[in-house]
Amino acid sequence: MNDNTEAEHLEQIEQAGDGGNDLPGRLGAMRRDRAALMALETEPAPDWLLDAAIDRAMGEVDQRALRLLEQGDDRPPPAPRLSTHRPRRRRLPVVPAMAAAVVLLVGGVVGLNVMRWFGPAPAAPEAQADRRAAGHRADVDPAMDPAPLAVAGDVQPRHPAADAPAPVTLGGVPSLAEAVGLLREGRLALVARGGASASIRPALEAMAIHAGSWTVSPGVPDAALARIDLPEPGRLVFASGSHAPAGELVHPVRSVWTARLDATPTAIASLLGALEELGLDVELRRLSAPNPIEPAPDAGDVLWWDRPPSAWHRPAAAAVVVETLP
Amino acid sequence: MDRPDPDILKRAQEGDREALDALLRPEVDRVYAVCRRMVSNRADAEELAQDALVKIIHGLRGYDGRASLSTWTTRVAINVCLSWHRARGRRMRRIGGIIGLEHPDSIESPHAGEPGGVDGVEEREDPRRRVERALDAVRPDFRAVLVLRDVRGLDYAAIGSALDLPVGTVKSRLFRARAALRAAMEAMEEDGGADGRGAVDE
Repeated sequence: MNDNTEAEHLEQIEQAGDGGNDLPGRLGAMRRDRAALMALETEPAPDWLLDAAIDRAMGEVDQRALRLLEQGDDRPPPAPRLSTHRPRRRRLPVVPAMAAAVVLLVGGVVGLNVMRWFGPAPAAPEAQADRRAAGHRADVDPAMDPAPLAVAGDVQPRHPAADAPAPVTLGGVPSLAEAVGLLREGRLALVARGGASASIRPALEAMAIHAGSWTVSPGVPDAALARIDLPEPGRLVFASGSHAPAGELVHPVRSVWTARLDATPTAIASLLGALEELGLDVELRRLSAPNPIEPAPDAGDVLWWDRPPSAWHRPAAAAVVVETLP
Repeated sequence: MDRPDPDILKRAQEGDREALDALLRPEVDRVYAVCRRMVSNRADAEELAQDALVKIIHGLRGYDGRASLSTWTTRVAINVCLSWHRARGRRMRRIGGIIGLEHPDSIESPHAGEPGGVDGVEEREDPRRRVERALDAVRPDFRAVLVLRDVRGLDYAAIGSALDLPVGTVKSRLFRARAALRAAMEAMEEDGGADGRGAVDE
């Protein structure tokens, strides 16, 4: 039945089955099943399959997936954009690194001393408090101090909001090619919806290590966050039960994260792919003004000379607006 | 046994795109066929075949050319599919637990019913379609031996190598897999061809 070996014993098995449980009939049916299975025809693999796999394996941007993205095709792209190419570990050249560390250290010490020698000596806190209490403002340059002017009535004190820069609003959806330019200008945002925030962060951190071209951090300074004028979430979702009764319609929980990424289409596509792999619906959005969120510096900023020139990308920051299930 | 050209293999291992294409082009249909028979729809098969090819390309440096390339690529493809089934099983059990399903494995793929899927009245008339549908109801580890034996035509030793199993285990598993497939076919016949889903363990 299975092959020659079993065929040798087939007759014995069939004879043994004559006892009444229709073993021969069952074996015959299994033979027919096998024949039908062997007759199954499989269509040839799609033409793009190997090219897409090579692109992905070599860490290149898959043009087909990019085209689908730009056309707004929401089918799962056949060529995932998240590169699985593992960054090779490189040994840090010890001597140049030590020399750079010494130069930085000496420069820092010298700089601090120069500031101490030539700059104004800071007054003791008690002395400053005494002077404020007495209305004495000797430590402030009168030309730069608005308080006496306001008191004199020459200039109306301005409302703090008047000095604040215009709020940054979310605009339309750019193409991926345009998104690279926007990212360089600091005007790119990603809006991701769906899923539960508790599981997204650890998964993204793990994927970021794998990708190598981006990181996402959830901490955003309040001042920067206040500058982004996000519209209220208009849709309602079913609560999952952690903060509201399961099944109840609630507004999604919104948070803004900072993505730090290379200003390349590969890095953007990789981040998009990672968010989509976590089940989030993601779209690129244009910001009306440069993103007020600054990416936190990392070791790569100092050690850029340790990388090959092809990896010398200026890192940029993009706001990631995440709306998740409560 | 198919041995790749050493020069092409060397260039492919160094990341030469043309060499990769020349080396793997003959394998693509085989890899895809394994994936196509291991999952029930085309979209998943394409995705899994691509995952398998990426793993093959990344693993080329460790391939010395002494073993058959097609057996090795089949091994990678079948293991990618089995991992996918394991992950899908976990996902379905989780979802089933949330929504209270008794048999979460019976949740259909969102792609079921697509062209090239296994749904459709006319397919029930065709014995090949019926066996294809019954194959979907067989446990993934049973399905793997059936696919390797009957679709890829591998011998017991190659199946054992692909699945890390001794030959004796391959034989017994193949027999149990055929019995499971028969049970699924009979279940479909009893239901008038309507359903054979749900993992058949036998």
